[in-house]
Amino acid sequence: MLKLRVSDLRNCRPRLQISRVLTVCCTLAGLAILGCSTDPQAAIDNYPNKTITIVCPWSAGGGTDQCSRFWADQLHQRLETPVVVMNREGGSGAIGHSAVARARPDGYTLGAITVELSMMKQMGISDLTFRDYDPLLQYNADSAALVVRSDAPWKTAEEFLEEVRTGDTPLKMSGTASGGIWDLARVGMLHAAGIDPDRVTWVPSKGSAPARTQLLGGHIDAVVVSVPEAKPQIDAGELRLLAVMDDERHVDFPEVPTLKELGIDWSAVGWRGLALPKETPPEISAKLLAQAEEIAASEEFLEFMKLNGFAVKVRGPEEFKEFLTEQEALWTPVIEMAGYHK
Amino acid sequence: MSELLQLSVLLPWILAMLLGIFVGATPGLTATMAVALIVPISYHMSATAGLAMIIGVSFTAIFAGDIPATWLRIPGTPASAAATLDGFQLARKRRGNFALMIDLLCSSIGGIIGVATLIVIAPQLAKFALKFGDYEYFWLGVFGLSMSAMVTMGQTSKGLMAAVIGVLISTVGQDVVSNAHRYTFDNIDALAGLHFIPVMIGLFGVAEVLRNVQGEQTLGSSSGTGERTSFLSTIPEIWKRKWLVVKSALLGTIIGALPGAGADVAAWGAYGLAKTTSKDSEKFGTGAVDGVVAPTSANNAAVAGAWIPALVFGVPGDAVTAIVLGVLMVHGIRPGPMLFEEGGAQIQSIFSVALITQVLLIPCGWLGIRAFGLIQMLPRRVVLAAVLVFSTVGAYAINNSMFDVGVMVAFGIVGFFLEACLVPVVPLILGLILGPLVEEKLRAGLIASSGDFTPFLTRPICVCLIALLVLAFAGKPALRLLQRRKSES
Amino acid sequence: MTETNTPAHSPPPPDDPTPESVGFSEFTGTLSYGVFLCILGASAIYFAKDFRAIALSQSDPGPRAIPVACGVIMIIGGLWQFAVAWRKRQQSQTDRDQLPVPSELSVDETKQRRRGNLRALVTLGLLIGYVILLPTFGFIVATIVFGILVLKNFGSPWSEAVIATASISAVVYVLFVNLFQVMLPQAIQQLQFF
Repeated sequence: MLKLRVSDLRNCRPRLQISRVLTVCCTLAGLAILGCSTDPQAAIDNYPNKTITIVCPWSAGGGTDQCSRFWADQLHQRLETPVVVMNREGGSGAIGHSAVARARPDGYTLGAITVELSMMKQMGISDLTFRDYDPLLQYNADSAALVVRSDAPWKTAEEFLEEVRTGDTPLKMSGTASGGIWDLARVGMLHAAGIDPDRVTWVPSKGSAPARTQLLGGHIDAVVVSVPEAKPQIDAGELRLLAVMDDERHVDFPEVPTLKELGIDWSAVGWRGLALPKETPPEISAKLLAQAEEIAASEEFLEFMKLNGFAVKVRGPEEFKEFLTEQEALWTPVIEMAGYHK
Repeated sequence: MSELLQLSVLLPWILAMLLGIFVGATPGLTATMAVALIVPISYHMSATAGLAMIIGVSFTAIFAGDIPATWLRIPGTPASAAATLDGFQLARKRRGNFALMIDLLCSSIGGIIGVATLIVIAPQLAKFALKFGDYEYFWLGVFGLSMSAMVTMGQTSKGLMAAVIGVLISTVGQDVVSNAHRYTFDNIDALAGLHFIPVMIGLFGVAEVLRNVQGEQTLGSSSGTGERTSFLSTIPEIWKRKWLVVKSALLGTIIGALPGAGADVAAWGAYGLAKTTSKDSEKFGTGAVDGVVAPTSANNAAVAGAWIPALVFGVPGDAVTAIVLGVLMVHGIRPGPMLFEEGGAQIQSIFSVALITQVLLIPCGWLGIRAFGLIQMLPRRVVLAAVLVFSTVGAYAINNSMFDVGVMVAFGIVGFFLEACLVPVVPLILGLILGPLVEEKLRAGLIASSGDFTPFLTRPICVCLIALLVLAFAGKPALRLLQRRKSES
Repeated sequence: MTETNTPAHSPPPPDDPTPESVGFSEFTGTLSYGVFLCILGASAIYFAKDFRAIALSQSDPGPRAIPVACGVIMIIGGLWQFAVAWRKRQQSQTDRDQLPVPSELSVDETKQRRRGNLRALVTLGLLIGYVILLPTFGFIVATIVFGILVLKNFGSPWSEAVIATASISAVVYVLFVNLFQVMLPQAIQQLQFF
């Protein structure tokens, strides 16, 4: 790809006007162009020969970041090339997701994609959908959980929903900002149970941790968060898990029913996966996929996920794409119902 | 205990603390970044070694932020912004080393008080912290904002307006409550808002360089002061202010224990408290030793305080404790009230690590101060050029974004302009940090109460905070009035 | 930056290593701050109309509330600054009748001022150029060019400029890239040679 011609270099000369330094620069640049291999096939054969970046759309230290760092470490060992995590936080994940979609499709940028990708277009946050990527692998799906304090009067999800349906004052719930994933999970749950979503006051919070603090302090009545997020407090006997929003019961809490068992047809999972920018050469994505599938089947991976409480759900590219189509169909009506659509 | 003194623990521990000096002193590198890098390494170590590294980094970084704040008026972390007031003024009077030695010792003592509080009454303090709902956090934020009037005596109207500018800037980006895009002009990078670290680097770092090159005629000379302060000579100074240290550290621990507030709020709270209760409050901001002691004791204590809700409830208060919780779970330590009641070997070793870190902080911090002193020996123009490069890279590193670098440059110009207009810029940072807290809690509180303002005014902690607010501003004039009446009658 | 009055606040202590800001006079400073506040406040209110507010709970004051409130306060505060500036002017005019006229700046001093202003302006220009060129030329090339130019601007001899730039780049590279794994901007593909 020899795009930079000599005329370009000449054009930039008068603009900079610092002739001596520029001469050095131009010489170096010229050398670079000469030394640069321009054959696309060679780039594929030599892959990987430089640092690979995993773009994480969430902050350092969060769940997605932890997983991304694990993947970076594993890929580094197997591909024998440096792999680093780059955090691009903000805009409900839109910034990081769009950075991946815009990246050069050469296999040196990988994206950690999360459930927010399934809703950001409908919400008007960005124009991205999963179609702007080559999905590689899904590795995690954590079910949403309906959680109350352990001294709350409701022992089961039915009792809680009955209170929502008939109570005099609306109950207060939290978990994310308005329009965040757990807010939408709440709307979907109430709708599936035949209850007007406005029967609950959603108190926005910055995320799951402050929402759980507010619940523990008695400022709100219930939270919707993912199971691993609430697990420490449930284990400590501070909080009670009423139901999980998934097709199957959660392995760590086999005694807690799913909403489907209670006759409420609703499931909401927060998933995580890896994706490549669209039009990455198939040879390169095949190379990466082979490694990724090996990692996802390894002992270390299962051990890591178990220790951190993340539920394992592995789907290859085709299955992942199908799942993403389903997810889009699942969330779109909920977003419209909640009044958050663009 | 003996495990802590083994080389396999002690070596990574001290290395992590030296890393903490770098992290703290470089704006743009944060303790969170350092901890996120340490975690994958710590999986291959014993639980104690991993935790020692994390605790070491986070406490050292919060102190080291004061070093560039004192010498160059560039805070390394937002929690050090208070050190640009009195610490920097002391450095201008060629007492920078003295200020930093006091700073170091107070950090260490503040940390010990914070950890001791954690050990003794963590469960009770955590229960108290849970009482803070949206309404209480709102007033805490307002209280913090009111400090902008407190730190800008003489220029109060300009300072207050700077705080309003800060609040306005903090609204840029995606609104947490309703997802609305504010002032983004369809730029996707602006969705994340104007991050306070690039803004801070611009306002302090770039503006300070511009100010220096504009005004100074002798950029070639070094600014090394040749001032010698022995560490021991600071002890009597601190002994004179022992109650101030204790008071600030306790306040810092309490604020740190609140999951919605952190070391930055704690430092300002302590500064305000010290100023209102001081006999010669007009000396604050001109190089008062009290103004150095209070914030630095509080911010280190706040780091310890942040561990309280994390250990007692397993709910992280900030990014660092979130990572720590993950590490604890990996090593099979379950956070919860039982952790304290049973008092197992694991929690004992965490406490010992935290306490010993405060002691190790003194030699590590001393090295940091000395190393920075050597940098000061370089010609001033080299230091200024280095500040520009570090500022640019630091602003980039915080979120790997060129947008943030642009923000830094823009605020460098704004900061230079505001300084030229004699406007204090510290309140702008206060507004930027506290604006989101105040707005989010006000709106969440109103949503929770269905638009009713009464809970903001009637809940017990709210009443206390409002009373404190009134006392802070009306207390002294009222007292003076009362005394005058008495002497008249 | 052509204001040549001496700053109104107290002169720096003699042993001060950093200079007091060479800024506006108190009058000009207050006036400019007022203008700045009014413009910022007015644009804050004007652009707030573009926010797309979602139908939320009735009791939420909405995303516009705080920014508009800030805008209004800033306009009021800006007008207040005008008033303060005007009062200052009146005061200084009455003062001037009584006090001796402040001595004019010497030719030397004016020259130094002008040189200082120019140097600050060039520094700012270089910084902006550096930031613009960083993504194209990558960290190493851009930093070396910027470092040398900015140090020459500060009056360094060539040897110092080259050695200092090389050391600064090396330290930043080791600290950020090797230690903290930050991916610093790399040159575009056509200019890559590392």
